[in-house]
Amino acid sequence: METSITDENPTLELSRPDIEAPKPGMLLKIEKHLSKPGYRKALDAGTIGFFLFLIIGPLFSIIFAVIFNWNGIYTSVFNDPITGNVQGQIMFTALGRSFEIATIATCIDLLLGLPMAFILTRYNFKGRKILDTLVDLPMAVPTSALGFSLYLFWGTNMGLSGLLGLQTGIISPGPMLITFTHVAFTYPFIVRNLKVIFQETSKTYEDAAKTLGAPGFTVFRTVTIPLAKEGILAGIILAFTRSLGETGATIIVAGVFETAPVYVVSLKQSLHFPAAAFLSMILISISLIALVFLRVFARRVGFPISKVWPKAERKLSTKPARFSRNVLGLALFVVIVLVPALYTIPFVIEYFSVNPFTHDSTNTVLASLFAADNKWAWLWVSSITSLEIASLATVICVLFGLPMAMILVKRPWGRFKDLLDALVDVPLVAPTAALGFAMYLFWGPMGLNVFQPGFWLIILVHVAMCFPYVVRPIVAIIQKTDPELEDAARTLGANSITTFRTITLPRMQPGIVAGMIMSFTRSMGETGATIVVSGLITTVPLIIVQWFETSSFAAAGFASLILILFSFIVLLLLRKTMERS
Amino acid sequence: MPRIELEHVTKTFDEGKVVASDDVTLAIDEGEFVFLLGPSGCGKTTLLRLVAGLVPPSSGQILIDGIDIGKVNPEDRSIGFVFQNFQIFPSMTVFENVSYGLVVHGYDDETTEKITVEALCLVKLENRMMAYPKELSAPELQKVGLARAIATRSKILFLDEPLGKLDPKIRKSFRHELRRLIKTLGLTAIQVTHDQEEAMSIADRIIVMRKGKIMQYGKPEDLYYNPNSIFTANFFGETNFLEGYVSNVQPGECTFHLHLGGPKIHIQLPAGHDFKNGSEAIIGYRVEDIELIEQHETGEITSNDQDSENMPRLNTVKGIIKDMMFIGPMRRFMIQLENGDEIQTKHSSKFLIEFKKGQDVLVGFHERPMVFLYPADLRYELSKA
Repeated sequence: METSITDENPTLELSRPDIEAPKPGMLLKIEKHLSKPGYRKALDAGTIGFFLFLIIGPLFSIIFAVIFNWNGIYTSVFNDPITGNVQGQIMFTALGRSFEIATIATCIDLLLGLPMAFILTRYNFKGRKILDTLVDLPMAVPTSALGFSLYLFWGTNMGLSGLLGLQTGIISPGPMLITFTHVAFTYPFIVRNLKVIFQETSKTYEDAAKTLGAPGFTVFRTVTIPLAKEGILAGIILAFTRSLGETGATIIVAGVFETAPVYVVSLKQSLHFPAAAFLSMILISISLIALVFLRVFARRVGFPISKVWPKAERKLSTKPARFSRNVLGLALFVVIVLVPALYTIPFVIEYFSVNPFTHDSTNTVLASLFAADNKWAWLWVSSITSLEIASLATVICVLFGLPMAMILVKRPWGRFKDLLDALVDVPLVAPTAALGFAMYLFWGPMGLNVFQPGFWLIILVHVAMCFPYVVRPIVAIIQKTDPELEDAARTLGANSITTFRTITLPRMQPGIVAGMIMSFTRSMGETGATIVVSGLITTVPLIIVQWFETSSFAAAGFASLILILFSFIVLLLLRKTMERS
Repeated sequence: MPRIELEHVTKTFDEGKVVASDDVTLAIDEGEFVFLLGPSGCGKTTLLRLVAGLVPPSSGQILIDGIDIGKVNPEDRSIGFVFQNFQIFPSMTVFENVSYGLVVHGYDDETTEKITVEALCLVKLENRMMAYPKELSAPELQKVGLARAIATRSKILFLDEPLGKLDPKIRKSFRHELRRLIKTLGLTAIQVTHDQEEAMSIADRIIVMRKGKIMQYGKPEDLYYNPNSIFTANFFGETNFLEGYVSNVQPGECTFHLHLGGPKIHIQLPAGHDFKNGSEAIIGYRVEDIELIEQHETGEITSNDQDSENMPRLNTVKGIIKDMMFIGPMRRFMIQLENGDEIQTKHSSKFLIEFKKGQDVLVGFHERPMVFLYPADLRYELSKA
């Protein structure tokens, strides 16, 4: 850049003093006005108020409700004049089972998920992208549809046993099938988490360990795992709490067996409010403890790495060992997760118009949808309701999630901000049935008496449930953006609102879209929380449960398929926007 | 052409644990091109950000043309800022980036386009107008950053290590263009760098900073020849520091005793010094200021310096050449003095007598070294942080 212009061209436009003064348009004027710190403070206060009052308040109020009504609750749970402490016993048995199932499911998840995450991040092969999508697929299947799908696959003669020529299902509803369902349902969460962690830990550390003579398995155990420690723990806790709180799928595959969140639903349905409140409080407290553990202690947990067993680990690192690990990881994924989760699709196709056993139209999709009880109309209405709820909840989440994310990244509030940051994750780990019941107690006839069970209470519950799903990706993307980019805009003369509109918002767009899609699919598929507060309203997941309970399998399958298709389209959109960013 | 003044400006981070700016008072005149120089983390960038309004000061006043701008938002301060990491808006083309400042000010389209094109012409990027940042090289990105900052017609330009991310070769040609551009537009400019050579070659004045404090502020020649601290002396050029004590203190001169019973040399003292007989002191010689003299058996001496008659009278000390290095136009010697001190010297390869490794030589120290009282913590003074 030679600046020889000066001599030939002494009147530079850039240094002309008489240039016409700028005339800012309406938009710029409004933005300048809104840039005053007062507005920002008001927005911050509004956002935090919304968050604390609508999301956190009801959750915590249940703890106080239990404490203040302790005598009544004690009597009805442990000291009933007729049943004695039977209810308490059932409750603790259910809790114990939930813990067992969650623990086993998480362990299986880890065993299956570690090799898969490793394959997806450390190997480069044709079709890796497809495998990646397949791993995420079960996430797109709403839980009640997933439960139904697994029930069909394992539990009836229309699934695997049909293929094998057996008359009855292989696994009947109960703890075993619940565990299978929870594995299928939490698997994508844990793989996703591990994948991100492995991607972030640089491969150069592993290479360094290899040049020092460590065999592959030793490298993985002593270098990769300790580096990924926090992420692995986060994945474990997320999978564990999700399994502990799962309702929608569990209701279907549980049979007469009851897990803690399913018991909350049945207590609420049978109007045993004190017991429901007590159990909800316990579930919420457990998830809070898990969250505190994750936040405070996760960093201090150590993995034993001091000892190395060179011979054994070298054997585990040989080519055949690696090969069998990869094949086993893939095969188990296909058999335990992928096929059962998507089994509804072939089922609906097979049973669409002709029953393959009887070769007539009994129990086919068409027949049961258009029977005298007009199931198709019901499905139509619930689909609209589901869509309305999911859209509205998502919009509310974004409206408040955006300023919340800004607060979490930008405000210099120290401890208070750390607390807010932790609280945002609470709905992520709280069991949705307990969350729904807490909301019902807070807003319903026994609390503030503002909302009756129905449309608006469902919206409130879904907003609370989806809020972290919207906030987290936006926070992640703001953190990745260099704040100096905004500084640059400021020094060029843009006020804070103009900077937000022209610089920050376009940067955040992929995060917002990702959050919206997550929230939308979550809301579309949610069962546990919706059942508790639905009143007379039905959504598609509720219909699946109802039709399942009345053994209208073909119609339930079709409803599942609609839900799956919808979520799948949305998931594809998610991946597209992720790739574009 | 505005004038910038700082009065007792202090900025602390992390509840006072980190002091990025420690009671800074200074004035930058209209149209001056000033360099902020110092080791990484000494608070150079923070000082720029304070004046630009990107961080609020903990205390103190910042004035532009005599007006306190403490309450003025950064967007209203009219200070162009070029960032080290460029910070070109990734979603906008080069043209949109450069015109951004004009658009958000509300200039009409015609003026905006005229000025934007002119700014792009000034940095020779007019043919890359429609390119997106990801298609540009680092030097091109930095030019966009520069064009974007000057297109706002601000009369003050801050440059935060603008050349730091560029290749050394490009950096050298770039810096003179930068100076010419700034002078053409008549801007008051402050540039941050940790490259002392860059600062020396194009600055009107240089501010040397350390740990948030201003160590020295002056013209490049002043800083080089009259540093007021061991730190500044060490920061510019290459310096040999010799420890010892003074005796025979008289107005303007004294005798310096090299430590460990080393030889005495006669030196001149600056006016207003605090030396007393017996004061411990440090003297500094630039590597290029020390003579190497060959002593023949006949007692005759020859020096490598062609102008030795014009130099001040030399003190000679015996030494031995421990090692030598050839670095293109220069030759570098490691010499051990008779008291054990090791020094380095640098001479033009062209006129050099054939010195050999292990050879005994006379080392010539002139009478005007940099003289400092022995500091409380010499290691700290010599550290680069």
